[in-house]
Amino acid sequence: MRKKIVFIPLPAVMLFMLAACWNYREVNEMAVVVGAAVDKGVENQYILTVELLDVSGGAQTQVSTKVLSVEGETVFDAVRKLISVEGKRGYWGHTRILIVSEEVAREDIIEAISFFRQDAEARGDLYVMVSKEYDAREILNSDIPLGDVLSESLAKSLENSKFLSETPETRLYTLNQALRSGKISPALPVVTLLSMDDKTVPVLSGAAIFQKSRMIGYLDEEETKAMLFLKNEIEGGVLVTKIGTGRISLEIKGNNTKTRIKTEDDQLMLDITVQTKAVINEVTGNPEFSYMEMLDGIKRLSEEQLKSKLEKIIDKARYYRADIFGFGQKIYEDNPAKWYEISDNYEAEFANIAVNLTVTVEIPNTSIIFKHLELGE
Amino acid sequence: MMVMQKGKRERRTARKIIKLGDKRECREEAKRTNDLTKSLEENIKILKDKFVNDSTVIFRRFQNRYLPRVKCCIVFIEGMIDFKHINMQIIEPLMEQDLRDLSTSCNLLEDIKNKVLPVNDVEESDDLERILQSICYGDTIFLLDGYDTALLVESKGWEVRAITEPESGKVIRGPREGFTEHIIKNISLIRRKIKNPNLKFKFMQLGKQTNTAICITYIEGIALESVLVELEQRLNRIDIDGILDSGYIQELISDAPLSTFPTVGYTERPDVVVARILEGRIAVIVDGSPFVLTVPHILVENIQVSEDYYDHFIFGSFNRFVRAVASIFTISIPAIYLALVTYHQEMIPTQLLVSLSASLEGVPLPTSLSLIIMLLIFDILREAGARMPTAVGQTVNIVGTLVLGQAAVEAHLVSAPVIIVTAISGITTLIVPSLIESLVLLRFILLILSSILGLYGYFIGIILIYLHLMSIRSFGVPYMMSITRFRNHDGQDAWIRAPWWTMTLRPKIIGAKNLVRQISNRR
Repeated sequence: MRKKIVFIPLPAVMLFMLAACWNYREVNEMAVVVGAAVDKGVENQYILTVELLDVSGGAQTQVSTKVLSVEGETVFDAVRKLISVEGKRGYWGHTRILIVSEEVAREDIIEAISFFRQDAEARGDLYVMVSKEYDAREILNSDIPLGDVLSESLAKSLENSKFLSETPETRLYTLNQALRSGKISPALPVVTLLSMDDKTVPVLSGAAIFQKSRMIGYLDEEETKAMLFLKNEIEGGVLVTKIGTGRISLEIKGNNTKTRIKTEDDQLMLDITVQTKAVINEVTGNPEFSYMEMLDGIKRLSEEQLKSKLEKIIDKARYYRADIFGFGQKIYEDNPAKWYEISDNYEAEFANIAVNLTVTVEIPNTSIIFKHLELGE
Repeated sequence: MMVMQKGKRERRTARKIIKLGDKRECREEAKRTNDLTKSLEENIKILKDKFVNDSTVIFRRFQNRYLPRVKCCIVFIEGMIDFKHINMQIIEPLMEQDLRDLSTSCNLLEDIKNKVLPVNDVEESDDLERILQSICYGDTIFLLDGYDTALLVESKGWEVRAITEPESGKVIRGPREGFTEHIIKNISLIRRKIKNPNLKFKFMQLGKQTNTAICITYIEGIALESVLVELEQRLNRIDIDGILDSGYIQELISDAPLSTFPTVGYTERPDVVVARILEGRIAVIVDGSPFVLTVPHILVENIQVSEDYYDHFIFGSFNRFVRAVASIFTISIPAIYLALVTYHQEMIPTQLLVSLSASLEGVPLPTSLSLIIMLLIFDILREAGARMPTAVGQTVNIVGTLVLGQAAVEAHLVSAPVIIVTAISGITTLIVPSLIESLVLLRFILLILSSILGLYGYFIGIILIYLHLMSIRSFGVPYMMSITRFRNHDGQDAWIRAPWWTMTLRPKIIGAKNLVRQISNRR
C-alpha cells in the first residue's frame, strides 16, 4: 500500500514535465501578430515587419493595427528584437498571412519561412504570398480597403479567391509539402499595390512560380487560371470566350481534370482530360447564331480557346523548367520506380514530357434569355 | 418558513411507533425497578419525581360524580395534547358517567378502558419507561387508585403546518402537495397514492434523547430484501442523541459520506417518493422533517424531475437533456473559459480574441483570480438570498446585479466575459437543486486545476470526477447505473425519458425482484 501511495504523485510530476513550453498568459499581455512581412535588410540580413492588433477597451471595442519593422540577422532574431520595440511578446497563434518580398523569394524562400514552420505558436494554415514590385513591408503599410485589419482582409480575399480562380490559395503547410517532396514546384499568390483615388490598396494578382525554393517568374491571372485547371483546383470563376467581336462569359460550375500516365517505349506520356461544366452568364456583341447552333458553337469555341490557354501555360512551365502542375507527384503515385529513375534529372525530363490534352466544356443548362438584349424600335 | 395553521389540531394514531420500538426498550424491560405501585398518591409522586422541574406536565386529579371513592388522575403535557379531546373524551365521561354498576366488577380499570373511554386508542401498561415515553409523545396517562397499571390514552394534538406546495421542486404540471413535518400526515400522503396492502410501513425510534419516530416504507414484492436488510442494519447502528432532520440519517447511512454526491436521495414531493417506491426503492420518513429519504439513490435520479413523466415524453426528454447539460456546463464553463483565455489562445477565433483582449484591457486582476472572486461573490449572493427574508432578498438581488454586474465592469474591476461566465455558471447550478452541494465545490476545484494546467488540468479534473462517480455505490447499486449504457432498458429513463408504453421494465438491479412494470403496451 505504501508503494502505491508513492506512485500517485508520479503521474502528476510527469505531467508537468511533459506538458512542453506553455504558460499562464493573459490575453491583454500579448501583442497579437496578425500579419508578417519579410524583406531584405539594409544592414542586417532581414527586415521583419509585423502588423499588430491594437485594441482599446472601454464602452466600445475599438480595433486598429500598428505596423512595426525590425531588422535582424535571422527572422527569429528579428522576432525577439520586436519585444524591445513593442514591449510585449508577440503572439503568433493568430497570424493569418506572411508576405515575402520578391527579392527574398528569388534568393531562397526557405530562410524566410523556417521560423513560421518551426515555431510552436505559428499555424500551418497561414497564407504565404509574394510581393511584386513593392517591398513586403510596403504592402503591410498600405491602406486597408475594407475592415480594420489589413492582414485579415488579405486573408479573406485569398479565402474567397476560389470563386475567382486567379490566384493559387497556398497555405504554409502546402508550401512546406511542395518544397519537401520536390515533385511539384510551388506557386504562391502574388500581392501588389494598386492606386485607387487617394488610396493605395493591396490586390492579388496571379502567381509567383518557384523552382525548388527559388522564385523564377510570374504568371498573370489568365495563366494562373490555366495552371489551376491543370492542377484540378478550379472551383469557380469565369471563362471568357471570344466570338468574333462578341464575348461570352461562362460561369464555371465545376471542373474535373484527370491526369493519366502512359509509358510507351520507356517514354512518359501524360494524358490529361479537362471536363468543365459551365453556364452562359453574359453575352455581349451580337453573335448571329440560332439557338442550337449557338450553343454548339460556344461549346466548340470555348473548348478550343481553353485548350490553347492550357497549352500555353504548359509551354511556359516547360520554359521555366518548373513543374507547377504536380506531374511529378502523379508519376510518383502511378509508377514510383519510374519516378526514382528520372527524379535526378526531372527538370530536363519535364521539359520534354509529351502531353496529350483533351478539353470538353459542357453547358448543361442555358437560360432562355440567352440572346443579346436588342433595343426596341 | 413554517406556516402554522392556527386552530386546526391534528390527532392521529401513532401507537405503532412505540410498539415496534427498538432494542434498547427491550433491554430496559429486564431492569425494571421503579414500577408503579397500587397507591395513586405514590404513583403520582413517582411521575412527579421523573418530571421534576418540568411545569408543563399537568397532573389533574378528579373523582367520579356517582362514585367518589374512585380517585383518579390524568397526566399529560401541555402543548402536546388536544385540550378539547381530553375534556370531552376523557374527563367528561369519567366524571359524569354513572360508574356504580361498574364498581362491582373485579377490574375497574379494564372496564373503564372498555366501557367508559370513547377514545380510539387506549392501552394498558405497567412499564414506567413506556408510560413516560407516551406522556412525552402526547398521550394522556390515566391512573386509578388501587391499580399498578396505567391507561395510555391517545390524545395527541399539536400545531402542524398545513400541506402546501413544496418550496423545493415546484412543478407546473403535477400534484402540488408536499410533505410536512408530521410523520403520520406524511405517511397518509403516500398511502393515499398507493392503495395496496403490500405497502408496508415499519416504524422505529432513533435518537437517544429525541426518540424520533422513523418509518421505513416499501412495497413488499417489489423492493429488494437485501436493500431492506442493509437499510435496517444501518439504521440500527445509529446511536446518535438527536435527529432533527432527515439530513442526519442521510449522512449516517450514506455509502460514501465523504463524497459530495448524494448516495441517499431526498425529496419533498409525495409523488416522487411513490414513483421511487414503485421502482423498487425504499423510503425513510423521519418525523419532523418534510424531506423523505429514498434508497438506493443513483446519479441519474438527480436530473429526473417528476414533471418529466407528466409532460409529453419528447418535451420531458428535452428538459432532462437541458438539465444534464446544464449541470456539466456549470462546472465546466469557468474552467474552460479560463483555460482558453490564459493557456490556449490559439483555440479562440481571432475575432473573439480581439473582443476578449479589448474587454481585458485595464483590468487589474488576473483572469483566474477575478473568476474565483466573482464565483465566490455569486455564492455569497446565493447564500444571502436563501437565508434572507423575502423583502430583504430583493435588495440583495438589486445590489448583486447592479453593483456587481454593471458597475464592476464599468469601473474595470472585472472584465465583462468574466461576469457572463459567472452568470451562466451560477444560473446553471440552480437547475439541478439536489446537486448544488457537489457542483459548487467541483466548479472551484476544476477552476483551480485549469488555472494551474490549462485544459490538461480541466480534463484531469473531469477524469477524476468520472472515476469517483464510477467507484461509488448506493446500497449495492452502481452510482452511474443507466448513465453509461444504453443497452436494453438501461437508458430508457436516463438521458431521455422514454414514452410510457415502452417502459415495460423497472430499472435494473433496483427493480430486479419484480422487473416487469407492465405488459407491453405498444401501440
